[in-house]
Formats: sequence, C-alpha cells, structure tokens
Amino acid sequence: MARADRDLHYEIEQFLYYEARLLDDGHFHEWLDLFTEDARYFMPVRQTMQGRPQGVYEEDEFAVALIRDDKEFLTKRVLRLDSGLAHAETPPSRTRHLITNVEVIVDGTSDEVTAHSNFVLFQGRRDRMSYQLFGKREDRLRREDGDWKIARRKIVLDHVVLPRGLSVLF
Amino acid sequence: MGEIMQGMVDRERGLISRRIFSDEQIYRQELDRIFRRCWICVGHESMLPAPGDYITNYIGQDGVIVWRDVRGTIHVFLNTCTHHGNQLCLYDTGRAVSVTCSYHGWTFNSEGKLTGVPFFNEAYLGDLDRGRWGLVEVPNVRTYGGLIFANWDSGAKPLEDQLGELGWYFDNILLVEHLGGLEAIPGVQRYNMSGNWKGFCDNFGGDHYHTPTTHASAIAQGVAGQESPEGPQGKTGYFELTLRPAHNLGGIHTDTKQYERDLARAQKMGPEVVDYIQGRHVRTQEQMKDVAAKPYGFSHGLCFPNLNMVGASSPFLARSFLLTHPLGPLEFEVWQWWMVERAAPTVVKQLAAANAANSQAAAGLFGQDDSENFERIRQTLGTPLSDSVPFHYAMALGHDGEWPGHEEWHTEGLPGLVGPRFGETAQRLFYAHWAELMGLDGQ
Repeated sequence: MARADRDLHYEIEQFLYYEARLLDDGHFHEWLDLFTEDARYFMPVRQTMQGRPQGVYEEDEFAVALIRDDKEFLTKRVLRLDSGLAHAETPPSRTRHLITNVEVIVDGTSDEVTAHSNFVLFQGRRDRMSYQLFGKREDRLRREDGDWKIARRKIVLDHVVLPRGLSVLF
Repeated sequence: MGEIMQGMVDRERGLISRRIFSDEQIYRQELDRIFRRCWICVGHESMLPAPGDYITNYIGQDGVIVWRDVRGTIHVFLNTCTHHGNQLCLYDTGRAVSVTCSYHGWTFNSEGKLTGVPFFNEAYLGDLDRGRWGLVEVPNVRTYGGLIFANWDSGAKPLEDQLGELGWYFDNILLVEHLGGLEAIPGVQRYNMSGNWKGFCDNFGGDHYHTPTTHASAIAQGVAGQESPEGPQGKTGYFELTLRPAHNLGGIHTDTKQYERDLARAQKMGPEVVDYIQGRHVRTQEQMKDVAAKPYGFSHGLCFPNLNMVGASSPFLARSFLLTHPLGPLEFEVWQWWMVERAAPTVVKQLAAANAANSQAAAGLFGQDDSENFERIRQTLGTPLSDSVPFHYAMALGHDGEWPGHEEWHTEGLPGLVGPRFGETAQRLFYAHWAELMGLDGQ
C-alpha cells in the first residue's frame, strides 16, 4: 500500500474529472462505458448507530443498501433515462459534481488502484428546487486495454435523511 | 374548525378539497386526532431482539424511543428529558441499560424510571418525587405479528378494531406467524418527500391506476418482482381490496401462477429452497382452509393511517414497510425498512436483501418517480386559486361492489370489498374515515 506517484495520480485525477463531466453533460452511455463488465456500484444506507461510528453496513453484510447494482442494473438506470418516461429526471436535473480530496493508492499491481475522493453534488430541478448531496467515493479502478475503468464504486453519503428520492448518478 | 372544514371531503360526489393537504390548522388537528389517537406502527420486534436494545422513531412529529427493557418488555417513550426537554437518545439504533441527559445529567433506565439526579440532596434538598418524573411513556403498546404499535390515547379501542378486515391478511399472508413470522433486514432508508403525507398513503392504499403511467420507465426495464400492468382485468386478479375501517391491499391474485413461478425459481436454487417454497405454501393453504379463494400475496397496501406496504407478492422479495412521518402539511419523511420470513433459507434471505432497494425505495426505479410526482403536486398546493379546485376521486363512483364482470371473479370468502385493479374505492374510504376521526362525520 503506497501513494501513487505524481504521474499516476494526475492520470487518475483527470479520469475522475472527465467522468464527472460526462455525467454533468448528460453523456450517460459514455459514462456507463467506463465501468468494467463485472463492475459493482454500491451505496450503503447511512444511519446513526451506537457502536458503529461510520454508520454503514458494508457490501458483504446482510443489510439493505440504497444502491446495490451490478453493471446490468446500472445499465437499466441509464436506459430508463433514455425512455423519456423517467419522470424523476424529466426535464433532466442540472447536476454539478465537484470532486475533491483525491487520493490514489497503489498496492502491488500497476494496473489496479484504489481512488478515494469526496464530492458535492448540486442538483437543480426545474425552476425553484435545488438539492445538495455530500459524500465520498471509494473506487477500485482497473486498466483494461490501456484505459482506466471502474471495477467497483462505493458511494457513502453524509446524509441520514435524504432530501428527496435519488434519481441522479454518482 | 368545523366551519372551515365543511364539505372538504364530499363522499357523495367523490371530491376532496386540496386544503386538507396544505392547511396548517387542519394539519395541527391531524397530529391530535390521527397521530395521537390512532395505533401507530413504530417498528418490528426483531429490530430490538435483546434486552436493552432500542430504536428511535416518530409518532407524528414526536420522536420516540422504542426500548426493550432489561426484563424484555417493550416500551415506547417520548425522546425528551422530563427536566428541561433535551433530546435523550441520539442514535437510530443501539443497546443501553440507561440513558443520561447531556444537559444536567438526569438518568433514566430502560423501564423509563428516573434513577439518577445529580446533586440530589444539595440541589433539590431531597425534595423531588423521582417516581413522578420518569420518561413520558406511551400508555398503550401492543405487538401484532411482531409489528410494534403504540397509541397515546388512554381510552383507545383495541388494536384489532383498528386493523379490522386487514387483520386476516396480516395473519395469513403478510406477517405469517404460522410460518415463524418475519425478521427485519438491518438498515432503514429515510428520505423526505414534498407534499402531504396522506397523498403518499392514498397512493399505496389502492391507487394501481397510477402504475402504468408513473412507472412506465421502470416497468419497461423489467425490475424484478414488479408485475406488468398490461392485460385486461382477470377473473383471479389483479384485485384491489378495500378493507374496513380504512385499509387497502392491492395486487391480489387468487390463482397459483405466482406460486408456480416461485417453485420454478426454487428448483434452480436447490432442494432446500424447493422444500421451503412448497412447505410454506401447503401450511398457508391449510391456514386459509375456511376461505375458498386463497390469495398468495399482494403487491402493495396501506394500514391506516400511515403504514404503507409493498413487496409481499412473493417470498423471494423482501416485504417493505414505509411509515410516512409528517413534517408539516407540505413535507413528510418516509421511514422504510424491509423484512424476510424468519424460516426462509439463508440464500433466499440474501437474495431478498440484495434486491430490496431496486424498485420501491429511495433510489429504486419505482420510488424515484413517485417522489417526483409528489413534488409536482406539492407545487400546486397551498396557492389560493389552485386550492379552489377539488381533487377528483370519483372513479366508478356508485359502482362499488357492482363492477362489470364481478360475478365471475374467483374471490369467494375473501374478507373485505373486492374491487378491480383500477379504482378509487379504497381512497374514498380512507378520506371518509379520516374525516370521521377529524370530527367531520356525515359531510
């Protein structure tokens, strides 16, 4: 376990910014292509739990999550948006993903890294409504045919009570 | 109050004033007449299995601690110090034998007794009746099939009266104590929604009519466990049941098709799962032997006033329970959890937990679009001109019990009023009962 060197860190950071821009510009299929075929996309429920200060159940625990997707289900989320009948994103939310606090950890192999990042996600709906979501992501990134892909993404929100149903992507 | 509420629920014409969804004064009265006088669900016994275990929840807007005392009895306390009102329990879930207030240090045990007062002799000169200043406790707490219900009204009618015709379905197909009952999957989703809490409840309580439109995009993606709304009304379902005094169950089928689908799925998962699916079916059929038309499950429903339900159409799905906690007339919180049959094989429980949040949930493909519609409705509530236009709840008004083709329905012996998949009968009963409790009887 060690920090990535400056070049690798830069590469991964740019990858995360690029990915965020795809989401904010509504290029959801291109975004989906950044995930490996065996990708997992996981967001635990956050609670205030006595004796469990982080307040989350991990992916391998018997618990309900907010999102527990494989690539197939993540694809459904995107296809749903294409249908024109996904009311929660009609008209589309204006989103802005601000990605910060990037740390890249290498652990032996040169083709896999763990990337930690924080985010603020602004969501504007129609005229008067807006929401902000704060959280962190822990990504397992893998180099496939020279390109970085997301093999696992864990998203931890800092909210116990969400401001609305989640129709945006992280 | 009586005057301003004249005609707000017009049963004759199926019209409901928008003001019952936005008026602050009506809302304050609801907190008193509905949330303080009805049995309100606050969780399930399996959330607090061991002595000292607690969860926190809400009754109306009041925070409560649901606490299993060291002897095993479940209490429901107001989550407030009796001294100067500080919130006492700060966690959603945990275990404790006592709680100490962070303000002046008063300490209460799991039976609610005031057991510790700092500087008792010096500060109070020994003059404080500690027996009188214990935690404020909900006087009536009952469990039913593991669900914990609390009622603040010391003169409350029995819980069974409030459950009414829903009780039979709770017993036989939802809470299934004859199969060993249910257990909660850890994790509670909590999310705010715009609009009035009653709108959410009337959606779960009989509104299958919204499914093809609201959920078109989710249905097109074939989210597991959700039935296609396509096809005409069948003789063995899909039915919506209107259950006195003011409940609903929808997505009822009285054929064995879902059982056959479940059995086919079980056969791919191994003999243990086949035994379970077959065994529970045989025992449940036996349990319902006095009723000719035997329902296998249901897809959604409402237990009046604010316990919404979904996912009971197959034992491969986790059953979800959604409490609507009001936060004023125009906002509410959904407090949602999931349960599985305790006797189910581990592989079935894990599958149910893994898929639990895919459909009707905060980020589920169904829940998102409900969230959006309630937000849009909220945009038109509480404005003077919109408020003058009543909501229309008159679908097939005057045809209750006489729907075309109902003579051929296979529903013999089912408790309640069986209706077709599209109707507003249950919603009309919901608002009529609400009006009665609010003191608007006969309007």
